[in-house]
Amino acid sequence: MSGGVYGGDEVGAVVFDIGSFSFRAGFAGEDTPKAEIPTHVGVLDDLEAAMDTEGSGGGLPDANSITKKRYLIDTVYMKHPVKDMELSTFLKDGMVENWDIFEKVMDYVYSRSIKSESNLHPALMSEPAWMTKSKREQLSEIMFEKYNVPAFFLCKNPVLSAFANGRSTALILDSGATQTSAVPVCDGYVISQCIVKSPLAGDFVAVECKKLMEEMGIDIVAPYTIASKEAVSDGQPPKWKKKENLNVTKSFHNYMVKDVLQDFAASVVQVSDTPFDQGQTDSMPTKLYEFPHGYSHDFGSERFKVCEGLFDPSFLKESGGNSMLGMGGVVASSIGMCDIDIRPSLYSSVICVGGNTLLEGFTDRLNRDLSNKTLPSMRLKVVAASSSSERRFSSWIGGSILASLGAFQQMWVSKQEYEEGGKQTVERKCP
Amino acid sequence: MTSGVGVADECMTVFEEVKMKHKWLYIIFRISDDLSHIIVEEKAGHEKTYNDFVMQMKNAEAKKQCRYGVFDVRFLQNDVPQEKLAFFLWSPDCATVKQKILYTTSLKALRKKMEGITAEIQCTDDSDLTMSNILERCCNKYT
Repeated sequence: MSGGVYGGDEVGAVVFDIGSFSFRAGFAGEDTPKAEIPTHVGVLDDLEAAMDTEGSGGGLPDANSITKKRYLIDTVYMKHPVKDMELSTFLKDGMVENWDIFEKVMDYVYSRSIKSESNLHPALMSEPAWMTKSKREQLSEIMFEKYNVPAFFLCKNPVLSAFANGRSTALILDSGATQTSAVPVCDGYVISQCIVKSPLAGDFVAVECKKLMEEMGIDIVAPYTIASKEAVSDGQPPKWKKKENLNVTKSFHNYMVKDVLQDFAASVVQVSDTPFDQGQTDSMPTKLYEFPHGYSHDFGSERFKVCEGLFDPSFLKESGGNSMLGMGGVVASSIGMCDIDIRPSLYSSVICVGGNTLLEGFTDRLNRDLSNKTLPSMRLKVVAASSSSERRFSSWIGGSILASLGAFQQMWVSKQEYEEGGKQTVERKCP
Repeated sequence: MTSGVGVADECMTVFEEVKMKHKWLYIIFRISDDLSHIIVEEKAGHEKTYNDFVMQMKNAEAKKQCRYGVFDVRFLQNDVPQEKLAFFLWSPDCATVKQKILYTTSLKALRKKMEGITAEIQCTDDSDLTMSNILERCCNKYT
């Protein structure tokens, strides 16, 4: 036990939660993260910086300095059009893939968001349920060796979400940007062989919205290309001027277009209560949306149609659609793989987390789809936090509270333990 | 993952009294105010009923807090008297997130010391606390 190491109750721990859309960081004990920065960063081949290092170093130019890259991190820098800037992410399947960019982002977070030295604060980080052993070891190595953290802890996202909802046994449906996953948690442990994942998530909704716009003949103009615009009345063609000579890369343009589509999805799209039916949704109220270039349109049944594929993949036109699982299917098949004894407890605690579950009507439809798939005798309860920040940051909030508990101090992997036991210590202390 | 909250010795003494001697009808545990230990909040004799137990749980709910409970359930199954111990995790939906995390992460410390529990029931609302749900969970293994 290393309970006496930290003296008082206040340890000033820092909590990190990495998602495929954004990276959340902040101090333990607070209600919401201090910073939420996009997981995407801008990468530039920076010739100027390469020159600088040559000058200050006084050495001869070598191959390394010429290919030196400059990274543009955080919304302000990244969403600004810069010539030849490529956008890329350090994550793949929820796990860190590009450690260089990851370190750059961590440097940025420590200096700009946390505004403190990393060696003063224990760090708690969340990880996806399917994180591999080698990635965990590499991550703890970086945290201890590069950032010199005094103590470190890794927790699984779904476990934190379950705890934050007051349950030790639950099924966590996490629908984020790139994927949706159903993870059964039993007595505080993830049942890893029963995890079911599906690519139908936030990005999918954005793609469907894009297809809809193409069908309707509306161009999506990203705000950065607009030089000026004039107000026009509803349904009138937009009057706007395009900025010239932008020379941005395709990855940047696509990201910015997706940004508009995400806003559209958040404000207009709604999940229909029952399987999509043109006649029924025609009678639903319409919603007006104004595009960045000034054009506005009233959306009626289309706003229900675009996200129908989330729940009923056979609704999609592409032939591949049938093999994918909708939201209800992901939950049901994950529970179906679990031991029959715990299935009732899982069905009675289906917890929805992740930004995509904030689509209007998401939980109602999930409830309906699941009740069709289960026996009437099965007690079904779909739980979702009512506030949007609690749902988007559920695992961050869980980590924040856990790390601030006085009693939890003895659970941390301390620097000393890491030095004595090596990187396997993390595997042993953070199940 | 556990929170590191300890279990006071008193909890185990009282639990053994229920298990071996059926001295109490139910016990309610809570986490001490300094968040260091799980302590006994109430031990109730046989003059009390299940309704009193539920009432105590509802009192905790009103304070937006969670509780643990052990109830000595007695019932007839096919005319054979049964005595089962049921363990409750009461985390009402309206409790604060901090309470929920405290009680769920500390659960394991208490549970692993208690042997002979037939059913562990995770309760979040009134429907979970109904007698029919408790009986169903206690009987399950025999039907």
